[in-house]
Amino acid sequence: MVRNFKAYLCLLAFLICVPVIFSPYYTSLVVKIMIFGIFAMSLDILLGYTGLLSFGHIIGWGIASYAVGILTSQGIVSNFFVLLLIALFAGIAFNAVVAVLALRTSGLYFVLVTLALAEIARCVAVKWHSITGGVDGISGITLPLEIGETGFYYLTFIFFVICLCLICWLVDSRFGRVLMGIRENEPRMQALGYDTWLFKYIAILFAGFMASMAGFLFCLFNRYVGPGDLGFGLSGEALLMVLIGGMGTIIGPFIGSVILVVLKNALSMYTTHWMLILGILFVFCVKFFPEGLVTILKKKISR
Amino acid sequence: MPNTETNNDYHRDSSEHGNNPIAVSIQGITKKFGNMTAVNDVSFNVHSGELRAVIGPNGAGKTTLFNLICGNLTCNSGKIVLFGKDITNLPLYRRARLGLGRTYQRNSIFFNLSVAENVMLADMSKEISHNTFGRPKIKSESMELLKQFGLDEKADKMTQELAYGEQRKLEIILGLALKSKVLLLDEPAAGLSPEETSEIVRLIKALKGEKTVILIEHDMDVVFGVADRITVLHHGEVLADDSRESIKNNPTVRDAYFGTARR
Repeated sequence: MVRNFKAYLCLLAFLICVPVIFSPYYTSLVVKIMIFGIFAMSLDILLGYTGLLSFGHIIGWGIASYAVGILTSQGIVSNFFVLLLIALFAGIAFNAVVAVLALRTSGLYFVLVTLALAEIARCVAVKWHSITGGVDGISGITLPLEIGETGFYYLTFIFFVICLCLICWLVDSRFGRVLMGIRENEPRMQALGYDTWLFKYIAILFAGFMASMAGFLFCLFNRYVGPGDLGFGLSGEALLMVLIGGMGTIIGPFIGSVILVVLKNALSMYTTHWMLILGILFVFCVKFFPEGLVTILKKKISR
Repeated sequence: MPNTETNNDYHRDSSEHGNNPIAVSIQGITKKFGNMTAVNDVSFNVHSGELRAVIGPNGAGKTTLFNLICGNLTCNSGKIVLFGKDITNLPLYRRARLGLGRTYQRNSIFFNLSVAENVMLADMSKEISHNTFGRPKIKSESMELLKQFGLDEKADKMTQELAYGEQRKLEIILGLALKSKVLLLDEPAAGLSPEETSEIVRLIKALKGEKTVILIEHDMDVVFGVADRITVLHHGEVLADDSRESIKNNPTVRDAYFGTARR
């Protein structure tokens, strides 16, 4: 079983009680934390476990969001589950194509190619005005399900639990071990007989699937989708969450999400320059806590 | 099978493995890096169960040769045949799956994983396509291997915390754990103490017959102690390819390679 199983249960128990304890404002903040938590966890599959730094990861989030936006605003789909399926499928499909292109490279070039591919997607979103709403995006998106704010909280909670379970499974499974082996020493993995390209490809699809879930939820939460959902800014924030929280840990990215969403929320009440402060925080963390909070705590506890 | 000059010499000598099928056939492989030819038209055959040593001064192209055989590098020309199958254009991992194992001159292990996790990766390799989702487990035979090398007590230790000699042993264990039919050992004794070296030699001797081994070594005691046949490389070309005794007494080899003291 996963270590700290009880700790996760406590966290989940707490999360279940949030809508009861807190006001709607703070409850919606926790929804945001969970959604970004899912996104950051999915990024960590690539970064922390497989050793792939992908700025193309936002594509799953963005395509799923746009799928929701386009299909609901044009009135094409009104069934929640059909919408979810299409959004997930679209996200995975785009990742499938992006991965084939990006995996022709490695190292720094992989980072750059994924960044370029995400930028291409963003530019298409901006230009294809008639479908995507261009720079303004699509607003006024409504959830095709009558569940209200609290209902949406628990919907998000269910998705969060599913993703948490997927990550816990990954860490313990053979598949996850292979990914970690690839991160540590890919040539040796090949020498041991592993088709590392295939494993990296599946990892990208798996992470893309989770990112699409997060994008789907966020679009419905925000009632809006725009080019920013394919932009580098969001990629950077997710990366920051993974780094601060702890790469390669189960709960680290979620902790990173908590810290970042709360900080952003608090800071933006006092200054419009909250991005500058986040940037300084980024540099500070990379310099002094490169392993992230959770990893450092784990080491302190095991001493 | 092409009848090159080296093969003519070979047939004149008797060899205990001469009647076994050819495990690895290297046929005229060449590797150039820009204007520099690292390996030039190298050909030799290694029979199943044979222990072949590849020796030569530094820069002779030995590790490059290994890289070409295993698939780390692609040949500019020539053919590599493994148990009758042409593997010249196959990627690294396919050659490993077909039975080609290797250890590296500089430890290429998984430093941020524990010893047991290292070996588990080798264990899982063959079954990964139909057992992708289960819990990883270390095989009992691999635990035996760890015991043989005295690393079983350190199974849960991080590899980076091991001494160099122990890391070297883990490197060799990784090569063995795959149970490859053909093993390429690149200076397995490099950096080991005399006691550790004899351990390695004992192990290599134990492999003879059941596995085909191609060994790069600088320690001539080790080479003459275990090798059936020796291929001498110089400036990327085969200088001589003969039985152990003939190489020992070969004046050209002595001239080119005189004074090999143990590293």
